[in-house]
Amino acid sequence: MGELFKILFALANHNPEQASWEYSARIVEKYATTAKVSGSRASIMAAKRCFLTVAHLWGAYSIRGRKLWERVEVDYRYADDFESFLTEAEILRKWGQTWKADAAKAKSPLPAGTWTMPEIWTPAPRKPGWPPTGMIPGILLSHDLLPPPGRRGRPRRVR
Amino acid sequence: MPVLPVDYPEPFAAVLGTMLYPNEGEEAQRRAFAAHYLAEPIRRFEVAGGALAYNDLSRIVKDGGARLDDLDQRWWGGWGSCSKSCSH
Repeated sequence: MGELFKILFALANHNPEQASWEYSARIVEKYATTAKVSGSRASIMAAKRCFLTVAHLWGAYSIRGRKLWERVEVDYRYADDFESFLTEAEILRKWGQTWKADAAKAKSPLPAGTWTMPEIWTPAPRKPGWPPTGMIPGILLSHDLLPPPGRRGRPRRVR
Repeated sequence: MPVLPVDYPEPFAAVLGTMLYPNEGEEAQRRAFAAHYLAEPIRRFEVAGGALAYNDLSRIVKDGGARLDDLDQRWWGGWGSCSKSCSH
């Protein structure tokens, strides 16, 4: 789910005409094939159905390399990095609940029932010298990973 | 919208539990994940001389009951792809 959301976000920013869950799943599938790990498109879409309401959290986790870290020399602790992670996830959630592809009947990627931070929550103030977390870096996809776009319109029904 | 459990004694564990078991009907699994995840850190904390507040410890222990047989598949689904056990 994390990789799928990350790719959708990157596409929306750089190739918006191709930004869809389906096309993103094709990229994940192609990557999985290249890396020789399991990941059929059907299993990727099954994971999407399961984890859609927390996709922004998995996406943030994926974008930051699936880790939390600290830098003690600038008094940046794991708890601070966790707050930064939550801030990043909230940025992605707000994007995912508002962005829409430029197409008739397009829906935002994330549903209304997405998990969110409490309304009263605000990120803790940042200190000088802290690493550049709490924001989403630019994500570029390698052109080698992009499958040829499919035909527009409704996918053909598999009988 | 559902609200992430950041008021838990150790919010990272609780948020991770939510990331792995986000769906309706999975609350026991969310809480159990956090309890299981915290068992070893609590042991080390106490060996090092720390003392957890009784209320926090009690809450964590009571949450630990549910089985998490599909945890590996959940991790796999969250990171990259599929979880066969998740039918949502």
